[in-house]
Amino acid sequence: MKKIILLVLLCIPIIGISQSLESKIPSNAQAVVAINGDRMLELFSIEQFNNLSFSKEIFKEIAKNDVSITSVEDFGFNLNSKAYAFYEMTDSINYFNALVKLSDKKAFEKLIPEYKKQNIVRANGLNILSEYSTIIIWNDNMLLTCHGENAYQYFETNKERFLLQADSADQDIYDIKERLGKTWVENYAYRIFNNNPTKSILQNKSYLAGKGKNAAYYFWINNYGALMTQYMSAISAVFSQNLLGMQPNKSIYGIEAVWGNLYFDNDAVRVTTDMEISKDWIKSYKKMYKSKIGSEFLNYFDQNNALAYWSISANTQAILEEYPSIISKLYGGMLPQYQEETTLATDLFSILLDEEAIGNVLTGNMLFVFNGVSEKTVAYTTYEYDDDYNRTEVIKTKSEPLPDFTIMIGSENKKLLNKFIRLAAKYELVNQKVNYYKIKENNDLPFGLFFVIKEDVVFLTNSEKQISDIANNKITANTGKHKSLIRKNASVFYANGKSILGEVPETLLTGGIEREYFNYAKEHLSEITLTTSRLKRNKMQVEFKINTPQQKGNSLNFLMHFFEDLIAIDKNHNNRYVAPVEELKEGNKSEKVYDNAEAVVGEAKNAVYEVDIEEEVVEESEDMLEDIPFSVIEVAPVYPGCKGSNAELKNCSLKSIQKHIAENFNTGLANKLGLVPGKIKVYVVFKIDKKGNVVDVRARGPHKRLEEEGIRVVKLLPQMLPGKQRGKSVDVSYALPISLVVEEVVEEKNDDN
Amino acid sequence: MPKILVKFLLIIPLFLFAGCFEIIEEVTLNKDGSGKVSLTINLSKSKAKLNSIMLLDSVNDYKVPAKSEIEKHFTDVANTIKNIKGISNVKNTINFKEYIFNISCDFASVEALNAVISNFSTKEDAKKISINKHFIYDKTKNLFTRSYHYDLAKEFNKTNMADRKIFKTATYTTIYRFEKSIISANNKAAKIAGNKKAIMLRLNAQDIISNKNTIKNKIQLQK
Repeated sequence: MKKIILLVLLCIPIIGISQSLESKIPSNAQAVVAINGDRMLELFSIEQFNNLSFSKEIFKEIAKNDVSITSVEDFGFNLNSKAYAFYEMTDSINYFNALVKLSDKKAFEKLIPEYKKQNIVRANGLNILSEYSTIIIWNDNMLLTCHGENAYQYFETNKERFLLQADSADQDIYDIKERLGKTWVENYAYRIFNNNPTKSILQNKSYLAGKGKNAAYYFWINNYGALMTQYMSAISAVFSQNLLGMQPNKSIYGIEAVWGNLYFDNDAVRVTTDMEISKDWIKSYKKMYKSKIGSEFLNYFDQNNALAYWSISANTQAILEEYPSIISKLYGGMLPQYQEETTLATDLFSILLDEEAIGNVLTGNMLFVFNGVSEKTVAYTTYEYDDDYNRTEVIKTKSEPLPDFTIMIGSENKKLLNKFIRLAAKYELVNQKVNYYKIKENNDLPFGLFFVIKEDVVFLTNSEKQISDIANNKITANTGKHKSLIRKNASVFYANGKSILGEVPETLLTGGIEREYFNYAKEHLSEITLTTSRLKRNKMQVEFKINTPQQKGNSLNFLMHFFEDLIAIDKNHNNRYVAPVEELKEGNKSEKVYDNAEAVVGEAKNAVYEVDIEEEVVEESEDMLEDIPFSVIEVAPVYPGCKGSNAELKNCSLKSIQKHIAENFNTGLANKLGLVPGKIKVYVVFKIDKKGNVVDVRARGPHKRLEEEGIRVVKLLPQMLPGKQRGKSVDVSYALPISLVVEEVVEEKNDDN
Repeated sequence: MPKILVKFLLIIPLFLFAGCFEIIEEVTLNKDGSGKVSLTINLSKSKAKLNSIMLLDSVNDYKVPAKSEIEKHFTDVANTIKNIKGISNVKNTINFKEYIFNISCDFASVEALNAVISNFSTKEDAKKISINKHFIYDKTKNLFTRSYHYDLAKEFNKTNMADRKIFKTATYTTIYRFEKSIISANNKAAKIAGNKKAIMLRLNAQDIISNKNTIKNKIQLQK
């Protein structure tokens, strides 16, 4: 097999080395995702990323015995560039691909597991790793991976033809599919890698049209409707049923091209999705959204009393009028055999409904506003007992925080509504109070409801004060930026996280971690907006925006630290309740039980080592006032998870540090450096500073790699509670000798074959 | 639409659901060891929150059952109890307006009650129950004992934080009524009625779980 690949490779001429990855994407691609690493590095540097604690965790996870990863650059990818993923479909096979720039080929290759490395074919400056229907090709500065999925439908229809291509009698359709698929993917990959297609995606107007300036991520789908249709028909084909009689390539929902961009602005994270609506749907959409929320609503909007809201500007009459044609377009496209039935049904629908009249009663404009939380008096049943403990039911009241909301619904038919109200009053479902109404208490709803009708708007609230203010025109309009937001868009959802959380009484919180999350969220959350725009020519936009506090730098910076902080809260909390020391005491399988700060013995494959902390004064330390050696510190730094008295904490912390070193130090390293067999020591000195962080890490040892390893491992120590001297937080210095044994290495015979 | 709306509006106080409810266990014991038992669960104090929860699909990772499901569940329980030897006159009431649920029955002897509890437990627990019976009535000694087999603290530790909140302000009340007079009871927290024919114990769930107090009691009756 390898020989064949080699042969093919040598036959394909390498036409130039293109600089831009983007120009390699074929114009026929159905979907493309661009990750703009360069843009993200402008916002958040590599160093910043490497210093995040969750990054360090990830590096630890991925690092193997010989590979130590300390930076996201160690993966070998060129981060200051754009990477792409794209999807191309043919009727027989679908290709899923990714294109990335490499900055360090060797670093990347280190990540490949050993057993796979032997499969790498190298020729012509290219490296190829192929497995089933996936192939990875890379050279010194570019990497391409292609994965092919055979189109089930195609093989089913052409089964006979393919079976004729069998190599041998016992090959079945699956073997043939696999072989063909693999060949197609390989050919496809070589073509993409080595050539610049004459027509690349850069000539595709649709792709270029949606690219956002300064976006961190960009995605483009050529035709959403077609993609969905193909996907659904593929699924129904797999289940051997043409479920809905799908016709491929007919756009459903009227959505054609879709573009998405993710932006990290200075003050917000924004995701925008733009959709191109197909011609025959444009008219319907435009009509349905032809509506505006006017002053009759906005005069009752007070932004100080609106912690969240949801506005809809739709046209009920138009919706009802367009509904039949939409249904027939939808189902007609999907179920052509029922064309007559759907047309008749939709016609009947039109006859039966008076769209205009309904549109009159319910204009389609709505505004839901969340006003906050207030204490309400609630009645409940409980029991009282007499002297002989006989039980009787009594009703008591209590106050409970319940949300307040106001719903505004557009209506132009006051007459009809009043008729309903009169009827409801007749049956005592509704009580009239001065100039508003109260709906009778109903168990399905947890609160009382009030309503009033004013100038083409029905107001519904659960707060009597609010309805009274509305009825008596006591609301002062204060719309701020929301007025234009609401009027410009078909729908707006807005929430002010900070205000909402501010309404929650802290007494309702239990549990430390909840409280910490809550307070953190309250401090950092701001506004969230989700807007759906009206149709502009043939495009519609949905934008999701989260405002970020500007003091925390740009929004990507904020987001990274946000996750960092959340993880820290979680970690600190779990560490407080979990005592890893307990596990140590139980006596882990191969570890000796120890007392006092003595040796922790672990058994590694090649070496037996000891770690003990000698209480010696650090030579390098200067300021004895600020920098206290471990041996004399009053209150030693506390390792997370340690509890107890001062002495216990000191002991526990010591042991935890030892355990940490024991678990993380790569002991096998000692045997690979050509050192003389025997006992060796690596000294690491470091400080736990006033904030509990590990700083000033230095090492001395018989080999540089061992020193580096010592430093690496100590740097991985978690943040601790800082040491205290006379009540003040101080830096505490440590000297840690790590004992290792270098074993005699038995030389392995080389395979002469 | 209304469901989504309510969901959206009520999400805030919801995740802070700290339960307020009471459980009342009443046993009336006749001279011959037969009697009546009634178990009432009153969630009325959390009525507002429950109304909101009932409109959701799930909360705290538990699926919210429909009213019909809850009713069926109670009827099933009632039917199972009916078939246990020594149990008769099983009644159950469900009040969704106030969220008060009650199930009651007559028993021929307290052994039947233990059988009922065993019936709803696992095999392991049933064994434990036969050793640590929940109800014991010693006719010769005129001693009525209320006990249980499980280790509450252990059970509680198994529950997660979010669920624990539910028991924050829950109370458990037991009332036992006898034909004969009560001489003494070994549970200090229990109060004997004026007419000496009834004894009541009211505890906070928190106290029971932290073992500060217990519903266990040994009641000595007059001959």
